[in-house]
Amino acid sequence: MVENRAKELIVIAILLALAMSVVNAAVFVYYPIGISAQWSKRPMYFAEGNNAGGTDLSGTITINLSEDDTSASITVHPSRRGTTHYKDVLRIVNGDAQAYYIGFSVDTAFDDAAIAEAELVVRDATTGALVGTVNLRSTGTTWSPWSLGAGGQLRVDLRFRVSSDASGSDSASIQLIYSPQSAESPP
Amino acid sequence: MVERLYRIYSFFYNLNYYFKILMLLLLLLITVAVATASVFIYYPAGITTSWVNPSVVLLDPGTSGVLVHLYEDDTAADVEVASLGCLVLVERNAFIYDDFSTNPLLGRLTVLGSSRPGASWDSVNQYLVFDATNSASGGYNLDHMIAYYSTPTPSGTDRVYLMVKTLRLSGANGLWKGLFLFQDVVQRNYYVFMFWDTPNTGISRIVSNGYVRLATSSASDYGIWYVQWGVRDRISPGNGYMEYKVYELDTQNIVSSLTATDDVHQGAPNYVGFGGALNRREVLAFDDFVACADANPQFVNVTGLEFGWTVYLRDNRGALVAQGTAGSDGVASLNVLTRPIVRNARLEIRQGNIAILPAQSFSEVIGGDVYECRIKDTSIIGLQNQDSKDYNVYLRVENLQTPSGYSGSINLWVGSSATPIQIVGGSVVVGTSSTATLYSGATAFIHGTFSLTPPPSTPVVLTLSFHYYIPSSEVEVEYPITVRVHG
Repeated sequence: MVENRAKELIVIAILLALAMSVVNAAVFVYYPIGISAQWSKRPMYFAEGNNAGGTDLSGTITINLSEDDTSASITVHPSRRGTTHYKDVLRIVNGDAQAYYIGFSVDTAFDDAAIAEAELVVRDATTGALVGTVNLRSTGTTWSPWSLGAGGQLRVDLRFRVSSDASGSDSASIQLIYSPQSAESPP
Repeated sequence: MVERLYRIYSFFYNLNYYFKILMLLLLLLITVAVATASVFIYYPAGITTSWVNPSVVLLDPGTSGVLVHLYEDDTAADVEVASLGCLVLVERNAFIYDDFSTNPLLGRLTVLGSSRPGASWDSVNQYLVFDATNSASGGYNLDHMIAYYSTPTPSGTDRVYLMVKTLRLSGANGLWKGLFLFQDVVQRNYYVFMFWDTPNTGISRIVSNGYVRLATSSASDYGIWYVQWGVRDRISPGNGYMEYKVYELDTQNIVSSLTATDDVHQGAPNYVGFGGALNRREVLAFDDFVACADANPQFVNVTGLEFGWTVYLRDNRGALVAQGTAGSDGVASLNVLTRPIVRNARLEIRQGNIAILPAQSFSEVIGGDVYECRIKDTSIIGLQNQDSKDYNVYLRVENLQTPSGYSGSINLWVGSSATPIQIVGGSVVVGTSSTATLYSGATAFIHGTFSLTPPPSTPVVLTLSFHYYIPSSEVEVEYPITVRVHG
């Protein structure tokens, strides 16, 4: 009697399993979504600062802009002793009719031990007022964020404190981040 | 469907006004939120730095009293500076100076003849009065009333200078007052420089009761204060040469100027004094008597100055008494003709509006004094431009530590910069020096003046930054310099 009851239960379980497998079978349901991308003129762009191309301690302050002024490379020649300041080498221009919020991320930091301090200093291009600084000796995102009004410009300065017995070089890669909102941080 | 839309319309239509506004704002907010969604745009930038040799290096200038420790390939320095002090009185040439602030008749001044009853000290006005209206007679020589100081002329003195202020308080014209230069008091051998009311101002030689006029000129006493000034050479080569001038006190205009040479009373003056021929009718006042050995009491001299530094002499209320500017010889002469004795005086040195030495107090400054300025323009660090470019250079104060109770003045500048860093007491008055040019291949110096009064027990510590920059591109390099100034 008990044995029959068990058999019944096994059959029911198998049937149930079959029923479940039918329900969870490879059924795919498709809903259509349309994504439309409309690229337009970039609202923000880099521009050469007043001292771009100017005389450096050795050579010149070199600024190369590319990708429709959305990519920049800077080359400077600080003293291997003391602290060297570069003023107004690069500009960040808001060519749009709305304000944007700005920050930076340091993807590759200066890591040569000779560089004791490396800092990107952002100032209001008109007043010279300090907006903020970015430590170029460590990676990470600086997102305070800083506001740049429609048509406004920010000035990028650089500061290096190098302590080295000999000449040398190092590079850092950073990214300018901007967004029309400030509530959320960049990913 | 139409009915459903109509229901929505009716719903909004029937809402009250404010709720409608609220709903609209809500819709707007949702729209903005959608429009400013979390969009982040990234622009890449690369920075390459290649460090190069320093363009400017620091040097030890080898200045005496300055210890320089250079490090970091001569781009940083610690400097120890010994403050050399301030103004020091090195010569007091006045062997008698009396402003009659105390009664001179109580010992230091002897009145000759029978005029004594008429001599009195005016404690209010602080001058000496000879009053002959009570019939006090001179009875010494021609009714002279004479006072002389017990202090003799120092041995070895070549020239004796005398000054006194006189005022005819009352009495008719026709009498004189002046300076007395005794060869011998007892024998009544002396010279007198006399300022007369009528045209007989002169230099006379007196022997006992007789006199010889050696020089005369015309001058009038208008009953105002005058300054009488005279000098006599006691020994060769100019022995017997005398010079006598009378000035109006207020204007310093010369009323009379005479010279004479006579050496009958050799060695005179051995004693000095003042007096007059009151002739039983005149009242005279005397003030600010000074006798000086080999120095003119009309001037206070300050040596050891830099060209262009100006010395100011002020009284205890801060009123300016005299000022003088150093020439290329580094000496400033302050004319104290009208006020040769200044109690509780202050001397101050400035270069334009820069305080080289804040007011330093002296219990008294006397005509004929010589002060030495031990504040030097000191080169504390050398700078060498090793580049082919010119640079602009300047200094800035980053930090200042002063011991409690410190007072004094520190100035620091680079090369020929016009405005130095200025520190007075514990305050930074000017924190950045003006800019100078350091030409390619040139060497210049960071200069300083240091006057710490009184010398502090612990040093004043200055943290500076030396800057050089390319004017056209604003590339600027700074080096740290620490300066410790010891008292």
